[in-house]
Amino acid sequence: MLNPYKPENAIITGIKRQTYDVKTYTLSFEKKRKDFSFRPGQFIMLSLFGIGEAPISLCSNPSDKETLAITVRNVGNVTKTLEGLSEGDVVGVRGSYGTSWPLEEVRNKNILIVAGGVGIASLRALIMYVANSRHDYRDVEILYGARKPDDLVFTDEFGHWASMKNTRLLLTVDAVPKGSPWPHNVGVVTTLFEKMQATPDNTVVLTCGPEIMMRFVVKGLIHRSFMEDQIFVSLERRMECGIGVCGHCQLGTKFVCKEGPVFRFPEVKGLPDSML
Amino acid sequence: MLPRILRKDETNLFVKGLLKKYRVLGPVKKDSEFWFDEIRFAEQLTFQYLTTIFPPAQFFFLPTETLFSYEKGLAMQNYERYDRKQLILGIHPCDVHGILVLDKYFLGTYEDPYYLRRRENTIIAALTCQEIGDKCFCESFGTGPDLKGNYDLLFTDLGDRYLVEVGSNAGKQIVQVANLAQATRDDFSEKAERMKRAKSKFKRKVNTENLPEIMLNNLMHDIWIELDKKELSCGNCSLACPTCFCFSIHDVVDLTLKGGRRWREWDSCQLLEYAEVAMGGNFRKLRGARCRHWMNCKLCYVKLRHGVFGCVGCGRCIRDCPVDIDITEVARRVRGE
Repeated sequence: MLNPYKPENAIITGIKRQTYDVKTYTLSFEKKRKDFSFRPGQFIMLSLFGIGEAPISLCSNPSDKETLAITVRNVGNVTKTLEGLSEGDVVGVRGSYGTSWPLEEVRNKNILIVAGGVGIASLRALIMYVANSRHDYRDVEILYGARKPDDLVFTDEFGHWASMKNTRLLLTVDAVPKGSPWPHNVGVVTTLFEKMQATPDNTVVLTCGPEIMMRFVVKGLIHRSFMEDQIFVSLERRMECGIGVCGHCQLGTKFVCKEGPVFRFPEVKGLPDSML
Repeated sequence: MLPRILRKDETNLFVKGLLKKYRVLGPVKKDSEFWFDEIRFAEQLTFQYLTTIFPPAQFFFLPTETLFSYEKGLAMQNYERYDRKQLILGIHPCDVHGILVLDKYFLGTYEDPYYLRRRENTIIAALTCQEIGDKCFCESFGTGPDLKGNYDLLFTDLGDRYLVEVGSNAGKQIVQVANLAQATRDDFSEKAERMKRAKSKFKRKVNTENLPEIMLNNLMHDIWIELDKKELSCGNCSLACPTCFCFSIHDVVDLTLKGGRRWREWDSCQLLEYAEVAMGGNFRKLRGARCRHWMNCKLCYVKLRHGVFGCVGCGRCIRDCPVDIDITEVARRVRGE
């Protein structure tokens, strides 16, 4: 019988520093797993024996069958320990779990991405997925914000994203420390709405970041005549099992690990213990 | 199969027969209360009991359990062996329904192998209720005092004998081996009469009509503010609830530091850390929010997800609450009664 709690070993084959507290880890399963695949927006349970597990979004190109990647900010027990590991070290992986970004629904549509901080990780997987067959989608506009310039991740990919056909990238930070060069917008991510080209017409919105940010993103977009069901949000909750049993991620009637993390906004609107 | 009759003076003999074949779990006296324990000899067992201290969920979903062990960085499969069948004797209908709620979670999209194996290896020999405790309200949720289906055997006390209804092949085998006599139509009428009498004894009631919708429409009801001040966040209610399925997962390292195991433990949404995330974020920081989640889980969420209420009316949470929070009163208040 399959033990869903037992992780598979994966070797860290690459580590790339993104910011002072964020790194991207490339993982490759010790034993090749033919059954492993994922859709952008899904997550894995990252497992470190003796420490525990944490749910982490996959950020790599889903068409890459050899490796997968996660971009992790070191803020908890598992992620802080992960930060100390090196290439060649082994971690455990369970998954992939949860819902994905609405890959079928965004075909032949404009895509508006609104991301905050390390929340862009699962959207980076989506951007790569879209780039794999760019002609299947219409205009892509990426609004990306962080607290400070040095909190932005995937900065070396910005040039590539912006150069993709019919793609715009708008950056913003909440504040710029004195002396830092910053040619872009200053203000929370919703201040970019004034500069964006996306309209409600034929557009799907995908947003991921702190819940308070998504609350104002949704509010701002509704104000700009977007409809609630055009908007998809990706939520964070405590998860211990990742498979809809342990209860920790419950949000009203939903289990975020199972019916989420990606939800169409009206599904989670007004639920208790949430800011949405 | 037609129901059978077990004469009370033959009960011990019947139980002795079961003990030869099964690990028998049943209600036994523990100080002034009762609890489920492994029965070693027939005389330990009592059928005259009100709600046990803990629900029998503990025999399927253990309070703590190893999920796997690991050695030198490799996770190892380690199932305990459950070759011997277990039989729960004298379990009340509310507690049987509690197990049915657990089934929805542990046997969902991903089957929990530990729970599944015990569930498959357990025979349920239930007992209808005739003495109704002052905290009991199972009738409101349709989870007692009688039981329709979901049992292997169902006992009903008829004074000098038990009516034994058979609900499965496993149950059939047991009554055949024990060579129990067939019941008559009179036995059945007597059961119906006794059930009717039992139903009239309930003092506590919950109006379940549209209850999930009413709960969902009252997330900002004053009662949640009152409960925020009142509740202690002790988690007693979860410990006592037959449908609480939550658990947390922990790692423990061997002294050699080369291996260890990952294990789980019952958890409660009433505890502060339950919904905590990195950087001190907590989606249910307030006690009132945690209490609201618990009440809604029982009276709303499970029903909307799975079609059955997460409350089976056993009354244990009322009995065990140190500050007298009463789920039936919460339901009444939210409804506006």
